[in-house]
This record gives sequence, C-alpha cells and structure tokens, in this order.
Amino acid sequence: MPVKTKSSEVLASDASLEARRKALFVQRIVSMIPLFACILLGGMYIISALANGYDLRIGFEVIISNATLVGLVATGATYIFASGSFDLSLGSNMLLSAIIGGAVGIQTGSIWAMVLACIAVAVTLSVLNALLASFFNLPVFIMTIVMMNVYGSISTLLFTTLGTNAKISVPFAMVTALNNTWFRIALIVAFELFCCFIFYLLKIGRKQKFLGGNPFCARLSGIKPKTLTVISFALAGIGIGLASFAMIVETPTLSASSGSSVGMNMLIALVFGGMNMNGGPGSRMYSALLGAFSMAFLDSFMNIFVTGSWYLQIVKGVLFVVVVFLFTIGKRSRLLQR
Amino acid sequence: MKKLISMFVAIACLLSCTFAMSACSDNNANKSYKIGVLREDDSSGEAAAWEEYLESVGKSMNITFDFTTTSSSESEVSAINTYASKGYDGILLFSDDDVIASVNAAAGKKMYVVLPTGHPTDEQYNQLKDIPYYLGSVAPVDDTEYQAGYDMAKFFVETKGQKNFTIFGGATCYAVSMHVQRLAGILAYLCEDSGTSYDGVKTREELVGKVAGAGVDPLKFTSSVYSIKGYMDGFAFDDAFSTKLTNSLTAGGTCILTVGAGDAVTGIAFGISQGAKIENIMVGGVDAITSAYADSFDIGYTYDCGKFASAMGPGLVLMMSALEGKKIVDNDGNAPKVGMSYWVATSKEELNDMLKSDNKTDGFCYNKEVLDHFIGNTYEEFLKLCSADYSDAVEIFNEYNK
Repeated sequence: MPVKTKSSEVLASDASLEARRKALFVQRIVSMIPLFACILLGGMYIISALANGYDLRIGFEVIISNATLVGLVATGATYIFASGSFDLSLGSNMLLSAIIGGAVGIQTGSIWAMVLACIAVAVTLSVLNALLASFFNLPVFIMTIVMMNVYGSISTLLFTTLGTNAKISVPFAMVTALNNTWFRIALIVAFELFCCFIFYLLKIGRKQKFLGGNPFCARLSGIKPKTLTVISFALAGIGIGLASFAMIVETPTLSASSGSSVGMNMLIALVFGGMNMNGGPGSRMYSALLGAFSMAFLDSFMNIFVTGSWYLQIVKGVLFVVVVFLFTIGKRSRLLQR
Repeated sequence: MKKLISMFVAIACLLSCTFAMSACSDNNANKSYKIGVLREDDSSGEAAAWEEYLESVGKSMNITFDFTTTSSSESEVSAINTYASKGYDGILLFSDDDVIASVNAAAGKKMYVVLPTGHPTDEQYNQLKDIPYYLGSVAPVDDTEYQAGYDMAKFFVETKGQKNFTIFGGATCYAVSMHVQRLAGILAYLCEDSGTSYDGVKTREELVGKVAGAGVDPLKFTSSVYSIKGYMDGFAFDDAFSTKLTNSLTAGGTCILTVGAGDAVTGIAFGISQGAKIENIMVGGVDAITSAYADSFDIGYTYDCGKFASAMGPGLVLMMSALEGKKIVDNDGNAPKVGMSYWVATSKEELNDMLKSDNKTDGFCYNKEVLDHFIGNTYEEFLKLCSADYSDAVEIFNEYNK
C-alpha cells in the first residue's frame, strides 16, 4: 500500500515535471518569436526588393536610418521599462533637446557643443520627470503625460521666437560630414554596447530588473526605488539626446512635427523586440534594437507594395496586439518570473 | 544561450545591412519615368485637384506618379530614400519641412527635384542653385501673395462697398510668409486711407514686421473709415474660434477676409449667421480654385483667388525637360525661381467656367499638348507659362490644341 502511494506521488511529480517542461518549452519558443520575426521580415524585404528590381544598397540605408532613431530612444527607454516605469514624453523631450541643441550649435558653430547640449537637455528633462513624480508622489507615467504637453508647448514657443517660418535650421554644412550610414551604425552600436554593459554587467541593471519584477521585495532588500528611477530616466535621457543629435544630422531643419512619430514607434519597437512592458527580470536590453530593425524591415517591405502611412500604422497596430497576445500565452504558466 | 543568440542576431542585422550595402551595385538603371510626390496635405480640395491633374497628365505622357504624405523632415528624407531605392527618376516636393536636406538626399541618389508649390528662401536658394539635380521652383512669390491680399481688400471696399471686416489670418501666427504677405496686403490697402494705420504703421515692410508671428490686434487698428471687428488665426476651428467669429459678426464685421481655408471659415460663418439671424455675410479668400469653393459661393463666399489644378504644369515642365536632357535654366544658368499668377473669380459662374476648363472630365488647361510645347523649350517661353492668368492660360490652351 505504501509502495502504491509512493508510486502515485512519483507519477504525479513526473506529470508535474512534464507539464513544467512543456510550459518552459512554450515559453522558450515564444521568447524566440522576436528573433524569428526579425529574420523573417528581413528576408521578406530582401526577396521582395530583389524581385522588384529595387536598389538594396539604398534600401538598407533607409532601414538603418529608420532603425537608428527609434533604436536609440528605445534602447535608452529600456532602463525605464525594466524598472517598471513608463515615459510618454520621450518624443517631445527629443524635439525640445534637438531645438536647444540646434540653437547651441548655431550659436557656437561647434558640433561637440551641439551634441553635448542635446544630451544635457534630454537628461535634464528626463530626470525632471522622475524628480517631479517623486516630489508629488505620483506615478511617473502620469507626470510624463503632463510633461509631454509642457515640452510640446515650450517647443512651439521656441519655434515662433527663435525660428523663421516656425522652423529652426542648423546649417547643413555643419552636419553634412556626419550624414552617412556609417556614422549612424557607429552611433547605435556604441550606445547599444554601452547600455548592455551597464544593464548586464553592473549591479544597477540587476536592481532595475528586480525593482520592475517585484517592487515590494526590492524595497525590502534595500533598493531605493526613487533613486533608481531617477538613474533609469537619466540613462534613458542619454539615448534621447543622441537620437535628437542624429535627427539634426539627417534633417537639420527642425519643425514642430520633427520626431513626432518616435514616441509611438519606440513603444512598438520594444514590443516587437520582445520586451516585457511590465519590466522585471524578463527585460532584455537588445530587444529595442531587434524591434527597431523589425519595424524598419516591415516599413520597407510594405513600402514596396503600398503607399500611404495609414496602411502601415494599421498593420503595425494589429501586429502590436498580436505580439502582446503571444507573449501573454508564454507567461500564463509562470507565477514568478526569473 | 538565448541571450547570446538574440544579441548575435541584432548585431547580425547591422552587419547584413552593411554587407548588403557594400555588395550591391547601383541599380538605378530603370529609365522609365517614375516621379514621387511628397506632400503634407492630402485631404484638401487643392491637393485632390493636383493629384487628379498629375495622374491624368501622367497617363497621357507615360509617367507614373506615386504620392506620399509626410509629416516631418525625417519622414520627407525617408520617403525620398525609399523612392530612390525603387528607382524613381524625380521628386515633386510639395512639402517643405527641410528643403535643403530633402534636395540633398534626392541629389545624393541622382534624382531630380522640383518645388512646384513654394520657393526656397534666398539663403536656401544660394545653397541649392548649384546642385545639378535641383531644377527650380515655380509658385507665387511674396509680391504675388501681397498683391492677392491687396486686391481682395480692394474688391470688397470698392466693388462691394464694405467697411467693417473680420479677418482670418491662417498661419500668420506661425509667421508663415505666404499668409503674412497676404495679410499685409489686406492691411496695406486699408491703410492707403490717410486716417488709417495699424499700430502706427502703414507700409508693407512695417506691416509685415508687425503681423508676422503675432497676427492682428483689432484694438491697434485705427481708422476713421474702416473697422476690424475681429481677428482669428491658426487652424483649430474649435469652440474658441466659433465664439470669436460670432462676436465679430454680431459686432458688424460681416465681411470676412481670409488668407487661407476660406471654405471652412465660410461654412462656420454660415452656420453662425443662420442661428444668430445675421444677414449679408460675405467672405473672400486667397487659397485655391476648386469645386469646394464653388459650393461655398452658395453660402456667402464672394471672391476666390488661388492656385488651380494645372498649376502643377510648369513644375512638370521643369522635371520633364531635365529627364529628357534639355534642362531649363535661368539667364544666369541657375535653377529657375519663378513666380506664378493666381486665378481670380468673383462669381460662381466665373469660378465654374475656370473649373470647366481645368478638370479631369473635360480636360486640363495645361494638357499634354501644351506641356509638349514647353518641355525643353527656352526659359523665356517657360516664363510665359508661369505668368499666365486665367485668360492667358485659355489662350495658351487654344494655341496648342488646335
């Protein structure tokens, strides 16, 4: 009789183990979807472009250009999302940073002063969001919604006071030497490596994931959430600053609509790249870059067959929902993420 | 392991792009005429008329036009690069978020660029004129815009006997030159009266300085003859706009002068006048010769001045001349920067006549036969096409469609 009981326990344990293995397998497959999607989209684009006789060299220049801007912002924003926060003001922050950076560049004639001003302003604005949220004890994302409108209004004011025809133009000759694909590749690779180093090899990366995964336990473990949030926003600010500089390099005339799509594209890129929007241990720094390339491939692929950004937005929206749904399948069986 | 594979793929994406760029040779061997059109506005009657014109003429001239709506300078450059990858020959650049970057992006990919609806500033022109792929711009110049505003005010004062005005300044609040000049033209005509001035000034240059980016403050308008009862600008036709317009109309400013979006303003004014029982509202505008404006004549629109569907013709002449190896340049050998005349209608019948001579069904004024004459012709001949008003345009049509 005891043997029979033991046997049933063993069987139950085996069944449980098997179910767990199956769940892990599904989880692993689901987590690989962003990779497969990126490869698939890239392949679809290349085949379609070749079949239609399109110039692949120019096509890849477009893809790198599009992926760089979104990739820089999204990679920086990964710190914010990993620690369980959210920022809606990234696009307006980028525009305001570009305006002030551009104005500094025009005044000083120095490209170094311009890039430093872009980064300094972006970091300051980003940290301001986090500090104000801490000061008023509000959820950070609420503060970022308010600040998104404030930054947008300041930008409009600056365009009408500093600009001509509601535009601010950095001399084209000042940035033309950097306006090439190699510069964009160098910029995104350097920033990606910098972020991966901090995220994977320093304590702060682990703390951010811990905070995002379980804020209560993180606090009990001695992590200071507000300090860590401010640091996360500051690191995101570096990406925004670099993106605003990259934007000036490519299109030196800034208007109120400059970078307007970056905020939304950044969110889509993170999801396409497999980033867990709730943050925590499932966060991956390279998700942003992967997602940015997936999105750029999708844009270029669709541009071969249809014109009109409306179709593209609809397709992106549908894919966004599908990808989020797929990720929820893989996470249902696990209570505690590791 | 998974982490490593994912990182590898992300980096591999970059490397594959790099290798593909290095490996692929230029593939711009396709010589069929394919022209990309970049525009910010794809919903107005004017935009629809231009699209119909280009598609219709394109069909008869074996040119494929592809339209992309852009919203920012980076989307402009991205669209140009996409057209380049598709082997397009040229770009008609309606949008002007960053003319320099856009022209350089196109020139870098050996695509011709024409600005058919606006001009670069003098500073921008100096940067563009030596770029061989920049073919020039054809659009009403500042003087034409100023004159359009001036003539509209003159019409309502001298022909319609109006003295109390409501003014809609469009994008004057953003210091957009086209609207600023039209508004300055309106004020300049009114200020020709000896007892009239705006904020102490009367001349064109001074008026432009006062209104650019600031609009008009009716309280600063002093006159013993005329009055400005209300002023609005921006394109948010919201409750605040309706309230201001209602106040102005009820105060007696029943003659509305608009520097853009006259059809929208007419519609709102008509609705207000019905509710508030205000009679004899009349609206004038500088914008476009379209069927939407013809409909507006039934509800108070009285004067229409603007671009017409065939206004794309001269820009197309510049493009096709270059594509056929007979580039048109100005007398100094540079890319032309040429003004263009507006058409003016002061009645629905007159406007309908214009529309009848320039539409998709009955044919366009600057059709294939007309364009064939001007493509590759001299700069002087080209100027004739650009400067034609409605009656000149009809003459040109008749001459080459015998």
